[in-house]
Amino acid sequence: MFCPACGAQNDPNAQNCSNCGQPMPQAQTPAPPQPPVAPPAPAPSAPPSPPAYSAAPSQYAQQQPYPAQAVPPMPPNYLWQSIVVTILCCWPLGIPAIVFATQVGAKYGRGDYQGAQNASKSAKMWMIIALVAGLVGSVLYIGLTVLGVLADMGSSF
Amino acid sequence: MTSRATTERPTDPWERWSSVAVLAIMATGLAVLVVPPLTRFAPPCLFHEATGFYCPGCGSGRAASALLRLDIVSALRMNALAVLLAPVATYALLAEALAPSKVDLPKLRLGPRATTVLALTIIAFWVLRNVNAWPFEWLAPG
Repeated sequence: MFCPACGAQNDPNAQNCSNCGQPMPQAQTPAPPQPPVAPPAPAPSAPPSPPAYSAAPSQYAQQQPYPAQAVPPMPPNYLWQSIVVTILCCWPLGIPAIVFATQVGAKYGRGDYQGAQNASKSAKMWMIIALVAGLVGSVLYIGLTVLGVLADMGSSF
Repeated sequence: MTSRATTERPTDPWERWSSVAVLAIMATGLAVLVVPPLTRFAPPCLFHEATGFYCPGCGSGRAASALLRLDIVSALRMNALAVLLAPVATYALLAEALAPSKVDLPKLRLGPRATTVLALTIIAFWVLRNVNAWPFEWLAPG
């Protein structure tokens, strides 16, 4: 909110301008008549609007607790990523990801939406760890192979 | 990116980009099996090297090169699970990777029971392919 006297920006709840000291108007809605001893009414803040339908995954967590009627969408379970990573290289890390992936749907089906959300996060974490471990391992392996290839070429000269 | 409303839920960027990454890894793996100067980079299974047991993925490389020769029987004998799952997984990952674009494949969503059955199948396959007795020999590579 801006001070009508000097134009300085102020906190919306400010009683007086922090720059010039003039009293600040209380935000848009005219304040109802106050009893003289009442504490100053807080500036009316916008009622919490329902979370926008956005792509941010953190939105799911912020909607707790869910109203009885509103069924949230099932969180992602990363099942196929986990399966491929498990089969291609990284089963010690991929198996936990698959286990958590199965829990996402199971808990969601039971109505445990918070549990499904947590399982989704765990599945994502293990899947990403497995993916990164596989990539790092592949890069190391290829690097060592290249070194070996170069050594072979050197010995053939 | 279009602003078309998704029917199920907003697409999680992690779900999308991890699908892209996994598809890229699968494509790289195929290239390593096919392109001659790259074939020397085809890695062995470290688990098999270390323990002598087969992992759930052992033989998937040989299965893929058999498939590329259209030799489906040999491919199934190398790693039946990988051969059966590869088309399904590729489709599921493609659908997730393309989700917010104009090419909108219907996503493959398994129910909780199907997901559990699939997970148990993978683990059972892993255990049974190490059992060197009829009728499980065909699960092991070779």
